[in-house]
Amino acid sequence: MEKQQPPKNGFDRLAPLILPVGLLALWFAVSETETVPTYLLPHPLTVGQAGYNYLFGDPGEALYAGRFASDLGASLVRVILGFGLAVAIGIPLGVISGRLAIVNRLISTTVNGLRSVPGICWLPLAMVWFGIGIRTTIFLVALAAFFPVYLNAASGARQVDPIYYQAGAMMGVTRLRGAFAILLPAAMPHITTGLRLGMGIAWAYLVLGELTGVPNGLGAVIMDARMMGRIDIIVVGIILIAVMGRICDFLLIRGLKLGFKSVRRMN
Amino acid sequence: MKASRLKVVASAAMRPSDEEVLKIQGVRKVFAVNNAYLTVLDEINVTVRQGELLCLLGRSGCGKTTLLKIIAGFMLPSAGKILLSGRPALRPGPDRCVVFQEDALFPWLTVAENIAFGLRGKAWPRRRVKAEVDRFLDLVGLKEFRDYLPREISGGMKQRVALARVLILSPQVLLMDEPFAALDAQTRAEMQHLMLTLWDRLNQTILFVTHDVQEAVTLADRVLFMVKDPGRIRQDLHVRLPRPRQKDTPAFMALCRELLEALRT
Repeated sequence: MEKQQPPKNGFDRLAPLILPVGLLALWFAVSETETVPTYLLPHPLTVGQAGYNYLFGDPGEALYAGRFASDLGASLVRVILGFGLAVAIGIPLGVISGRLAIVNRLISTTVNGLRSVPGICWLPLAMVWFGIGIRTTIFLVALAAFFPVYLNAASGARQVDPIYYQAGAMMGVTRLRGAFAILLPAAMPHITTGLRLGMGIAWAYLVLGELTGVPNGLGAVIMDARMMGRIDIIVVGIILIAVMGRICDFLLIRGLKLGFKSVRRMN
Repeated sequence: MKASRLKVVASAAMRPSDEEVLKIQGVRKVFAVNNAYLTVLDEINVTVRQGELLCLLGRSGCGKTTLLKIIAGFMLPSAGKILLSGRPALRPGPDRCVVFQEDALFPWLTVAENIAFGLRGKAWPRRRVKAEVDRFLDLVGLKEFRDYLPREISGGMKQRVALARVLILSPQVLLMDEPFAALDAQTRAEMQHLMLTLWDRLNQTILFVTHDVQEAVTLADRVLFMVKDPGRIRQDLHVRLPRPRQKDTPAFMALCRELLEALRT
């Protein structure tokens, strides 16, 4: 039986919208009264118009018109590949180092040292190694997303109550089978946290990676718009990245709940 | 109840079976604590026969849980060995399952899935697993709760699930580590009754750890009375009270008083 959430009342449902709507109203207010000059912050309607063009306009109709789909596609590919790489390495390595003290001792100092290096420091090196383009971006995204995924997987695996292993062992579960039947589901709440944090950071580093001379992608559009003095497009890009980040987080949770009953049942 | 159980005035030799299921031979356990050696168990020798319900009684710190862990295979003895039907038992396995004191159900599995967990390795057809799970759900009275998660049921019900998930594997010895200590008095009495019913019905050999004199006298065929520093068995006592046991009979109370007295010293 899946537990039913208590029915939400109107306020619960509207609560997440209060802040964005309020900010929008404030933005309208400062623009209408011209408290802030438009070359610093364009009028919301201007931004709305630019956003509409960017999303739905015909290519060539205006600058940036209709580019959204291809930019989003390019960015999504980079996020998914980079994040996927981080997950593919981070979860197994994290779980193993959470369970085996010797592995943890071997790699934790290095991981924690590298973790304290700001991601932007890697950018010049990545450009030298991988050149300008998709591989640099993927490298940066994977590197940044790796740490939260790895660290949470490790602490999740470490914190599994040993009584579960004892229970498994007495019911005839071998160590290898126990890793999938007991260790992973028990560590799943932590792993989920790591994946969500990693996904958020993946979007942040996507923009960082795209700031450097790639022709397409949401980050590239923002950087390009700055050169062209199109503040409205910068704002559109920021809003779209926020929306995409939120949607990806939502889809990530949905997917995990669909795939793992431990996620469905333990949160 | 079978007639033989109703009047257990006989010694173990007159019980339905003479087969020695579990033999604890010269078990000793020494822990290293702060550069010193602490002997927790010393020279433990016990023989448990098929179908026997044996209680390990002792105050906390006398090593009874340590002994249970060694029998279960979660811990190795410093000396001595555990024999199961004559063969040395080293690793934990479904031949001697444990009902833990604390909640050790898998929180991501439903009641029915928890009970079915140990059957995963058996490669049984789905229908057979379901039938077996249903039988044990019924035995512990949790039929309506099969799809509940552990966090949605009470402490007593959790221990019923814990009992069912190991009984379904028909272990040679069932080890119980103060399984009802965290329950309220009413629930504990119900669980004791349920356990005795299942013991009788499944002819299950049980080794039951408790610090509660009344519980030991209510349940046991035999009480092993343990003392500490170092943990030893001081008395091996056959309880010859008729079943079902009445707590208000003079014989019952006399035995409790005697054991309480011994426990105090």
